[in-house]
Amino acid sequence: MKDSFVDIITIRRKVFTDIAKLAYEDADLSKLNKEIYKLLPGEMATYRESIFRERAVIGERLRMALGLSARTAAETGAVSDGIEKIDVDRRVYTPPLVEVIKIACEACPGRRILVTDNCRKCLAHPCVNVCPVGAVSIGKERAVIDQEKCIKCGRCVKACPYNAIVDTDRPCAAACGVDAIGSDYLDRAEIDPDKCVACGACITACPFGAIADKSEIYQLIRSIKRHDNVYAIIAPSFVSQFGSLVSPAQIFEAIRALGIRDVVEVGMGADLTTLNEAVEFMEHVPEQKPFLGTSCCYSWKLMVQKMFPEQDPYISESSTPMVYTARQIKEKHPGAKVVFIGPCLSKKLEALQDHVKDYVDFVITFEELMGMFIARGIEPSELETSSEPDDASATGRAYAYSGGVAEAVEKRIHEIDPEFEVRSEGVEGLHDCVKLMKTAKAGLKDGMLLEGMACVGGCIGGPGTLMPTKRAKRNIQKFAKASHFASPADNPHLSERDKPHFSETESKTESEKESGEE
Amino acid sequence: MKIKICSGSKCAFYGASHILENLEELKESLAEMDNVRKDFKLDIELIPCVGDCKENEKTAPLVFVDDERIPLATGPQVMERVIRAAVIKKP
Repeated sequence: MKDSFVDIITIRRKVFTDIAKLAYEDADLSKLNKEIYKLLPGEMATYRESIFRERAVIGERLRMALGLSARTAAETGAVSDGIEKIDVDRRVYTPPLVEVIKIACEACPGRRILVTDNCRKCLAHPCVNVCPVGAVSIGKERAVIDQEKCIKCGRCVKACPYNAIVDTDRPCAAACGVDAIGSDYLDRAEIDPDKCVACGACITACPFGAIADKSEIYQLIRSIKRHDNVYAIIAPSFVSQFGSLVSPAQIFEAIRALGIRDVVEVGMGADLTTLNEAVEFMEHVPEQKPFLGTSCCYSWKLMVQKMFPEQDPYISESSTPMVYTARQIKEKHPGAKVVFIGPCLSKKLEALQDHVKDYVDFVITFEELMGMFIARGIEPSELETSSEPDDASATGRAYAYSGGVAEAVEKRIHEIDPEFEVRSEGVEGLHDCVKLMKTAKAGLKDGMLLEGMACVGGCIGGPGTLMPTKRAKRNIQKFAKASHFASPADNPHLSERDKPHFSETESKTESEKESGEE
Repeated sequence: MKIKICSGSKCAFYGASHILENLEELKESLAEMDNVRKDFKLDIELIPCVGDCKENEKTAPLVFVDDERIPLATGPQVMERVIRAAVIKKP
């Protein structure tokens, strides 16, 4: 979410609400064309140069919200073409998850150092004097940069007394931490699916709203209408996402009002991740693994897999909070369907993995969920509640913001052995995740616990969130404090099977403790 | 000046939370500006769903500026009213 991109955000949200409405009303999808005119009525363009293009773009948005791929101008036919195959009650979308809507992309130029008309052709011309490659000269109107020579060091940008030189980039590529965005033959953005880790940063960054991810709200709602055993599991960052006046208990109640049987905090699974990662760290670092990376952020894990395959084994083997939580529900309620609701896009990809797809049937974002509330006319702040969510410990709830995961694991390690030495480092944002892994690969992080969060702020900064991160963090800390369980070890809801079966470390520390007591 | 922002689902989803952000940032800016009326005070309040959006599609986000009702409000529109009331002369 980028606060000031109000128009783009509002269009996207209206599309989600509309698709949710269609699903709840059992609408005839072959008449999808009508929705375009409902969303963009009249003869005048509001956002782009022409109403025709606006409608074409929103048509592709509708299709992506239904789980289809965005088409190019060469392919666009009727908006409802091929719609039958997504009109089902199970997951249908296939990767790539994040796509450029080509007809919406404005083919922004790549990174350049540019002289603007602030230039006064000054006598001192520091821009010329600081350039290490002789790329800057004083032209007739203003300073000129020879783009062939320019190495984009930015010295002239800093030296100019008039702020006349700017360092400018295409926002999507600048936001991408794994350099996955190139250009197609028309210079429009193109995402390399082999590099993309589905963090969603480019979606948030594009000022033309030209990048989107596929949604499964439609199929989820079909499933809810057909089955009475759809369970929701909700990521720790959910607190305060649905309005400042809405309590966590009311959010749970609102989700039940959608026809979902029950809701469980993913913080519960986070508790299992904490327990397992703590033991894994104590047993394997530094002997078998020079360092241990946390496992919960799938974009971080995917980045390591793709860019640092040799270090991939050093990312924790513990399952993610989503998987632990979903598995517990599937075991407790055979035949149940599970939808993960979170701030995250890459969880949509994680859910397609072989070891995950049987546990997690759907993944939607907070933003998509809010679209469902509105489609159903649900006002969470007005709902009566009878019980507070009570599934997770304080540290499991704190997984939502950066630093929370490492803190939880460290705390747990010290519960097991107060003397155990553990150093940790956390980074947020995919660019910094890559930097951290480079130094870790070079051996500079040996013995450490590394927490990687692809989104700035951690999960509360995810592309599917609705609240500014600062406010979200404050409210989550309050909610974490209210937990009945200070430690994940106190949480009675965790399945025994998923708890760590470490013998070595614990027996060692316990015997040490005993001998100490004697 | 008292500003009430409807924080019902529809309003929040379609821009009310952006307006709130705008106003909170503006409040900080006002505190640093030296041409603001001495007696000017900006009160921002979130109010529960007013319910008007249920009758008229063209409502959310809904804001009240000193009890003047502004449907389909935008951040710049509301900020402009604040500046008009708060600032003595343009800087």
